Amino acid sequence: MIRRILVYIVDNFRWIGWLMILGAVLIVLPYMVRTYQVEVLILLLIDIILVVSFRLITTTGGWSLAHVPMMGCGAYATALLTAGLGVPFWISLPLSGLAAAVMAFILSYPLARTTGFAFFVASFAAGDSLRLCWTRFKTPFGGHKGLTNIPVPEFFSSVDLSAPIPYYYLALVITALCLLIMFRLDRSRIGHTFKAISMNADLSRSLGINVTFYKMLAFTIGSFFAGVAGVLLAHRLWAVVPAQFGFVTTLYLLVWVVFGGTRTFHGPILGVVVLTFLSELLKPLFEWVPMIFGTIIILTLIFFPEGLEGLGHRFTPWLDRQRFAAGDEPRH
Amino acid sequence: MTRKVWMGLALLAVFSLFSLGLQEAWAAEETVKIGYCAPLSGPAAAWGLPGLEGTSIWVDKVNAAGGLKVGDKTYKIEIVKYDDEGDGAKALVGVKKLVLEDKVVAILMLGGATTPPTQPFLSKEKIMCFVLIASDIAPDRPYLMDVTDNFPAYHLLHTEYIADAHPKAKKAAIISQDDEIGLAAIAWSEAGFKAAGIDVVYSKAFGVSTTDFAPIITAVLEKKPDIISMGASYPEFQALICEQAYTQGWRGIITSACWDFGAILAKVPKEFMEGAVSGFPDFDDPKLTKDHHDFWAEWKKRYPDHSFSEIVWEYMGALDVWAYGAQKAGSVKSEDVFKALKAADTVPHSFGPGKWFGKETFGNDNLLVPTWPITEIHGGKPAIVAYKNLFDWLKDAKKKQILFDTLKAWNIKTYQ
Amino acid sequence: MALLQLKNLGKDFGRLVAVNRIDLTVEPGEIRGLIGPNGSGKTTIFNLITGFIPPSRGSVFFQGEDITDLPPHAVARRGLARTFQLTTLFKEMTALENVVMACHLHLRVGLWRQFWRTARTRRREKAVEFRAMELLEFMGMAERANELAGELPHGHQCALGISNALATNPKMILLDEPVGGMNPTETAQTMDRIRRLRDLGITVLLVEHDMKAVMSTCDRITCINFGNKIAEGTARDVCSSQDVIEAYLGGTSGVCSL
Repeated sequence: MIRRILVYIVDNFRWIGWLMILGAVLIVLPYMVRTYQVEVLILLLIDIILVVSFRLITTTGGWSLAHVPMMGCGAYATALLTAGLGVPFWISLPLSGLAAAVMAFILSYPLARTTGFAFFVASFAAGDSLRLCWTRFKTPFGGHKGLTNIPVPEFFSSVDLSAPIPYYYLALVITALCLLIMFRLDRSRIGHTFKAISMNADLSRSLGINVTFYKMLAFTIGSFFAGVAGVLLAHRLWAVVPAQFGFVTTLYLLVWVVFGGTRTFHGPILGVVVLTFLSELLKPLFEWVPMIFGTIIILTLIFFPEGLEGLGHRFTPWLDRQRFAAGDEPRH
Repeated sequence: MTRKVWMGLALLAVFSLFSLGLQEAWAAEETVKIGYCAPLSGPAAAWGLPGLEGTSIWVDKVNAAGGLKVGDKTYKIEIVKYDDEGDGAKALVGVKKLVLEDKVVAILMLGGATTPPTQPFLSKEKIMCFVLIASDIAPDRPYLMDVTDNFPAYHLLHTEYIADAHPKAKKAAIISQDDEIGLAAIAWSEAGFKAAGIDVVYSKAFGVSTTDFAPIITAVLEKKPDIISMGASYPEFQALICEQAYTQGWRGIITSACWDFGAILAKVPKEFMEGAVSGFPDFDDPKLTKDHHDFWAEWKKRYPDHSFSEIVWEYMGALDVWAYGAQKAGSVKSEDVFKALKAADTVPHSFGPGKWFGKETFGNDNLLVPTWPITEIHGGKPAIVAYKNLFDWLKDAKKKQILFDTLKAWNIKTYQ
Repeated sequence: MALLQLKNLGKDFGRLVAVNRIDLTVEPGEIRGLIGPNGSGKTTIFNLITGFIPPSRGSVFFQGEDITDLPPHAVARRGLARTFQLTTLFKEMTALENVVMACHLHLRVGLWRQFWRTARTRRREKAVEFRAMELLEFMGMAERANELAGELPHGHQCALGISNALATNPKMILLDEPVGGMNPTETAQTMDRIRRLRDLGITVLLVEHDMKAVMSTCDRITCINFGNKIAEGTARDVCSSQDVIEAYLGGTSGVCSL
């Protein structure tokens, strides 16, 4: 067993090495930036869970416009559980994810039967009706004013999770865990089956794959993680308001994903990270930001129609040429 | 060639460092910073951007006069902007940056969706937060105040004025969109009409995505109202409502929290708007002071083709109140200014001396209420026709009871 | 007992009768050809049998079981596989990955185990991969196993389509134009492979326009026109049928210029 692990590490050193460097950077990062920027990093981690779980659903071929409301489901669930019923954060975290998943499962029954544009529209309607529920039913959802006084997650009494840096680590650990699970899923047979469905649903059916079931599965699992993202958001903002989960947030999500690309696991992460840094960088330009932002996105999509992840493909031949020039064999 | 480029770049770097240093030096000369955390882009930008016009005029005026004299010091004022896009999470980042990095002593915000996530932090830091939405005031938000806009309380005064000016008008219909602001407007207007002895024959909210007002207006007109109140309907709704009421042949008194003339007059003739009642004057109104007129002239000069609205004024109005508090406290420290403001018997508001109000309705006396102007539209321009005071209105116990009963009926929380 | 039996099967699209009332019986071990002019309803029949579209009337029996209302994946699970007109593949996967995916039904590992990739899952995955390679070898394209399906030559794509269908371990396979767009050499190879399917005990029902291929391969042939069966029997029987000749060429010359 130990030998197997060792062999694995040696074989995949490049990969694991990079991951360790990344991990180290992420661990020291909050000490390198200003306090408010830690807040930006926390939101970025939450957004990363959101985009990766969104991509999970897109691997079956559908772009769900209900994903942000699903995040809202998790946020509202944890608000009601922790602030309302006094359930501890650590129990509420999986439970609220589950609440989003259950809601998604119910909605997916009709949704999985739609494809393409119809799925787009139907999921939008489903998400919007959720939002309507939150604004309409003052009890228990608090209407437009939402719910406040969401407690700070409790951890050993020496750690104050209301401070930005401890919360950053909490979010980091949960995000890493979520990504690990979703990565695993992506590389498993289940993930392959999702992709087969998006490539050709009819062929998949003819090969005995229950397409509806797998679509519902992807939608439910994706929404679970969206719910988890919602929990992290709610416990950071200490409040949930329905406006937080409106169409503007969905638009951002779509932009991140289109910008990064959905073909690879890392594509959407790349998209949200680059765009978040860009928007922080451009923040001092205020009213001009949307225009500059838009221009950058359009230019990127003209030159890399597959999103940022396409950059790698462009880069590889160049790299090979460099290696060739250096007398090395091109790598494949 | 390359050497020249490098030289150029180096020069540029040195120059920019130098100018940055200069800025720092200038900043060191007693500058007080005030945060402006509002939507500057995105769908809610219309509620944030115009405010910058007013605040920049205010800041330029104060700084041109050498600064604001507080105690024995004179401060230059600097507004630090942050675009929260109307989003709660971004607003939280914004207020943290403004407070922790820029060390602002007060923050101007729109309010609404951005209030719940930002208030726990701002309360803890004891940073004053001026919002435009009175219903954000709450017992657990001590430092949040609304010192300009008197929405929705001024609906009580508009309705009373209508009853005074049009004794024959006996029936009123109220419609507004189904969100927090719209529902508050409906409830307060209904209370106002009832207290003024006018029957409310129709009061209902419409969905925020309504585009066809024909069935709604038909239902309204069936009740034969003399008055139609649009509550706090958004400008695009106002235009559609007016168009429907006009084409269905209705003529009468219309009232609303505010008007967007451009949008409405594109749909109906000027005559339809004649006599429409609201509560926000243009600042060249002869009944207003020279300060208002000066501001109007300056604003017209800077933004000749912008349209005037309360948003232009409100963020700036908050600066006026803050400056008064700072001068009174002899300090710019947030808590001192706050205490000085709350301790004052009356605080100067743009429309005259104001008193604190809100304990019974919002749970905290953090709404500044002056004697409020009532306007009527004449020839497409608002003109002040009367001034009314909320405290006078509330002196009548019977009216007050009607108000609280109506708010309760509309499921609006009160703290009586 | 008949392997596949269509009773009175029909489909209307609005007022258009695509398939009228077809009765068809396919015996085990048979290679059956389904011919007919363009638009005569052949592909619709395939879609009706495999549950891709619900029939307007009639029923489908497979191994004596009524499968009329089953969804496609359930039909596949019962051992009735199909291919599609044009080449329908997972184009962004390699040939091997295609067939591995097609072995979906035979992984027989629960979702949970798939997620954790337990030792058992890995064993099963290895076995599936081995089987997929076998199938590719059988179809004569082992050396192309690691090429992207979308980049294979046309003949190989068709063969891969059949490999995919075979991977579901079917008792019967429905082939929709297996040699469409192939050159004579490729056609001969493919028809040879189809004959070898029978040797594996797989019953075949195929739709094809290449008459020469159909006539030389099929045991029996059914001809339909305008959604109706107009002839059935051996190649010779069908060729001599006046209805068939008229359907194909308006009665001027023979169908079977063998």
